[in-house]
Amino acid sequence: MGSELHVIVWARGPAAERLADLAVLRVELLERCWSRFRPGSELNRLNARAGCGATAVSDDLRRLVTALVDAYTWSDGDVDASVLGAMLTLGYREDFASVAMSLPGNATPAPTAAPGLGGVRVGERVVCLPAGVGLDPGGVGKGLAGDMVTEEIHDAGAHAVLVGIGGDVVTRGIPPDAGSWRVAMRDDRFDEPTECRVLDLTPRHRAVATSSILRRRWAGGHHLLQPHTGRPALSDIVQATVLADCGWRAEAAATVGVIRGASSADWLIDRGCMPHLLGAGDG
Amino acid sequence: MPRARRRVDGWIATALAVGACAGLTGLIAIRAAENGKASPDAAKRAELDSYAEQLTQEAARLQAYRRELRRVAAELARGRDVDPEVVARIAEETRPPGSTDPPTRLDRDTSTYSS
Repeated sequence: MGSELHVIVWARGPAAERLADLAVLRVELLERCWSRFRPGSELNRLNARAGCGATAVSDDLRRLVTALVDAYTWSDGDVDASVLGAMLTLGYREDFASVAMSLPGNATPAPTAAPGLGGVRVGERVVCLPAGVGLDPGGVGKGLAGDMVTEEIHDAGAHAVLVGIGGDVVTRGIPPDAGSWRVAMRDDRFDEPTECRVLDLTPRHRAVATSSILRRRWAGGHHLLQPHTGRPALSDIVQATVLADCGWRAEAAATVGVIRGASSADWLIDRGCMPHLLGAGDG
Repeated sequence: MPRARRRVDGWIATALAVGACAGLTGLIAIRAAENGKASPDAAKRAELDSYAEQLTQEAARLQAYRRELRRVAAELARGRDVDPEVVARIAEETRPPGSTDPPTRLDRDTSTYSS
């Protein structure tokens, strides 16, 4: 997922160490299945079969596609994994660290509007992608990985688990003698660490994710695309950090915050999320 | 037979022999190329076989992960049979007279931080 992984497990005795190792292993297994940057991944095989009818998929891939469709529906189409074509047009074909220097400048190629996920069908063991639809899991994949791994490790007997992928965090359970997980929110507008806002992750808001146009950007663009135009999103918000009930929704909500801007705050709160939206000119 | 006619016949015979050799060589080369190159169907089948093998390996990795997870879960479930409060009380009650050390607790009853 092109990101740093951080795992914390509270459990009795040496089981904590073993569960932490298993959590790391599980994220690696999901990466092998879901990554669009690994040529042989199951996701890339599925994308290559768009328009060829039903494709048999593993349970992990079926869960990913289900979450991508759920995020698309929940966000009224603003979180759209079918922006893959637009991403490729922009040249974002490999892990960001590998391509950042070669991405186009102001001479951006003609944008490609995302086809949307309305035609994607998910069966019990099969997925059907319409012709021209390729999936880029983006943040929703990271959030879902956190959801799945924390659930599995917690169900195995861990008292509490935290999985952080690229700074986005999903938790299960609360550490002993604590009322919440306390996570510091980084402000990307400043190079140097500033006074941090501390966020409390509780059973109601178990996950937090940040979308920012200040990261993964290049001259003339950034990685958060407006699906309806295929162009990098441009609103009055440069960073959205959102707490939600699960990882994939926190990721989707943060994307909505950046794409729609400050006016999305009420929409997000009405849907049980807790947004922290930062504008370019805010102090 | 005039000498010139004999010479022409010789050239024709030579040309025919060279042509036959070239044709034979060409046929051998084509057959060799066909043998060395798999048909499109065979290439597709090989790719599918390779993909199926990869999926099988991934499924085996996932199974190994789940097996280990169940093993840890079973160990933790057994550990729950011991009430940590009971262990602490026994440690307190069995503390040597005069000792000021805090009561010891079993390792498995302490939360461990790991990252």
